Amino acid sequence: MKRLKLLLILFFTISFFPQIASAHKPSDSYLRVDYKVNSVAIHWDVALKDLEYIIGLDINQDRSITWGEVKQRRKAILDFAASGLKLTGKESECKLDFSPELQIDHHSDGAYAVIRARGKCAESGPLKLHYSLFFDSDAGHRGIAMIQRNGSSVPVIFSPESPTYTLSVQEQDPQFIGHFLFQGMDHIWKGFDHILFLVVLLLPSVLTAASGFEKPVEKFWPAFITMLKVVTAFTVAHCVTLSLVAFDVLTISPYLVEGLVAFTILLTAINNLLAVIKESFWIVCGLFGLIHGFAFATVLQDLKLPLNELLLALLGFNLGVEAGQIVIVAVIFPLCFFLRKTALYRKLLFIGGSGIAAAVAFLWMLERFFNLQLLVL
Amino acid sequence: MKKIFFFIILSFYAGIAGAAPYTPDSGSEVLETLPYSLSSTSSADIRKLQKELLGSPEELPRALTLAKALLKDASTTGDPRFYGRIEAVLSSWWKLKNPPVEVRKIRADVLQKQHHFDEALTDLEFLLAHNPADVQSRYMQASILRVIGKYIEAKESCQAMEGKTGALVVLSCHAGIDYLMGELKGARERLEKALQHPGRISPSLIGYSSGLLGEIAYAGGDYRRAAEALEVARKLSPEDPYILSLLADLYLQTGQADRVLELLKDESANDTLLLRLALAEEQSESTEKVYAVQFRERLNEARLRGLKVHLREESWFMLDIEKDPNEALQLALENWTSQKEPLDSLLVLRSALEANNPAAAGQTVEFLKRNNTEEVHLQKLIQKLEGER
Repeated sequence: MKRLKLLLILFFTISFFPQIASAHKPSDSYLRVDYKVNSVAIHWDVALKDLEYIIGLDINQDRSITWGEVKQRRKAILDFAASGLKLTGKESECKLDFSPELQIDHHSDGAYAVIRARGKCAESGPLKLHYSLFFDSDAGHRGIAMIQRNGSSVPVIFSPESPTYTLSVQEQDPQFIGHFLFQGMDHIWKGFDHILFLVVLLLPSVLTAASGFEKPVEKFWPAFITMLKVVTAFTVAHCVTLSLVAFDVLTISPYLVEGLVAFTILLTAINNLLAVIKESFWIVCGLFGLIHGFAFATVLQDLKLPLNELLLALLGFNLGVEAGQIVIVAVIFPLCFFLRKTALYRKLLFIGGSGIAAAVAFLWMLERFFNLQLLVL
Repeated sequence: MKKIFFFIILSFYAGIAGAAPYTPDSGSEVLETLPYSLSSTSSADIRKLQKELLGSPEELPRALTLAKALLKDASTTGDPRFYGRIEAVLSSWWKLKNPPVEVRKIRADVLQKQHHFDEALTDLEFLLAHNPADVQSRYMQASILRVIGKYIEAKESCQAMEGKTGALVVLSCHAGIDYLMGELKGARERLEKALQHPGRISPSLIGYSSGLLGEIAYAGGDYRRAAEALEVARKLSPEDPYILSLLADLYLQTGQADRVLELLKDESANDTLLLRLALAEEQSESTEKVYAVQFRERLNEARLRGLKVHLREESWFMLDIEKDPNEALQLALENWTSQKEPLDSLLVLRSALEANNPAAAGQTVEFLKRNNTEEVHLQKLIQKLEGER
């Protein structure tokens, strides 16, 4: 009998077949970290089986975990997750805000709780992500992360041996300034009203101001340079307001700004038709640029960048705006110049175009000031 | 190299993404089914022990109680999560060169399950030097030596058990090695005879020995006897994944894919069995390849953490499902450096043939010939390979 007992114990506890051991995958959690200069957005999948081991999800102990049980244990899950992930700046810990909502996802080995968090750091310098979830309860656990920034991705595996990853953005990082340069150009090209404003500015540039926009200019380069001056005055001006807003010196309601932008287009288009201001239009354009600068500002304001990075971002963004505008001028100006002597240009494109632009800008202005929906655009 | 890097990045995307997050409609929706545990310790008790241990991590008796409960769950579920948990529970002693005997015993078991065969053998040698009558450690030693192809040493371990445990245990230990060394017929006869009059022996041991008999009969090409013995084994231990995989391989070999799909339909959680399901799906030429998709996903996720214990399954998958014999051959050869069971050798020979690279199988053929293999499937492949050369 004693021998039988020994055999039973023997055959229940030892494995005769070492080869079939690792029949499943060990414990992993999956993170996607979207990283923007000083803030992170985290999407995190944690296995229900692992949570069960530490905090217990199977409340009624029927060997199955239901969505109801997960919801009941929501707070415990989020508290536990928060204890296993930290974001720090150079000197202090940054706050990670965990979304109170949980979702479910499936990986190849079962169901996972989907946890979302956002973190923001006030200070500058490289941020660090510290992962320690399950490390004191499961030596085989790994946090498998994809760190994403500006469209590029780095795979990272957090383990007890390497629990920390530095999210580094150096100010010298060519990507950093490049990112904002691109954003600046993007804002010009994607914002329909900025393109319209440029077109309205461009239309009279191939006609002489002295003639009240009646006669075409003779030479290409002087007219082109005048045009560039106007555009650059615009950039410099909006750079000023952009900086004031970004440094929190000035704030202005976005509704008001959008309406005023439409108003500047309207005024410019009317000036084309009536030729009120003929010389030194760049001064007026600079004034308008001040208004347009407010419209760009929200982009940078939302990022809450540290000072040194903000300066660099501003530089990049403004260069991008300028470059974006020059590209548009370089495409449209030669076309206008080529057509300038034709009646088609003078009557249809210049007068008709300015008229349509004035009408569109007027409707925009009404829409934006009075919060109406008049145009599809 | 570039290709590999690209693959890693791609599989990271594929792996990390999951399916798609959703909010279940009903609170009663079951998201996860937990395996039944054989240990008498409930998961709530385990959690309590775990919490207490975090307060005093160096208290050995409590740590051992918890580690043993986890080890039982590890054996019944096969889920490698438990190995990491055991290591964490015993973390105060785990990295020691000379841990307490009880810790070393558990460590050896976990190490061999993680395919760290050399480290496991070192621990077992210490344990057996300390207590030569430790049958459990001795059998584990024999099993590992058999898997890594050191048959002479494995036989010595079997011999060392004589008189210290039941006759059928020792006989099975020897038979499992003899049949790989040119004594297939003798091994089978001895096992048949012992099983005819088993006497008062635990059903689980009879189940194990019947499974081994099935394995030997299959190696000899006697599919009918193999099926009988494996059915007996399955009745006695219906959940044993090893018996299930042997049965599945037999059905696949004899063109009975539908039976594999039926037999394993609830077993897809286990990678080795999921692979058999994918192979059956491939063989039955069903248009839907759900198991192959699932297996590919699991491979991707295992690769994310650089896991290499799936080499055998990966190689087989590459060969028969992805139809990439070159890749399959590389994986099979890498796998063969650590384990040399008939299936491991079979994959080397098959992929070398299909990749038109018979020379790559040279070492494996030499090993099999040196051991006078009588495994009929291996013998046929060796003939083919030598015909091509």
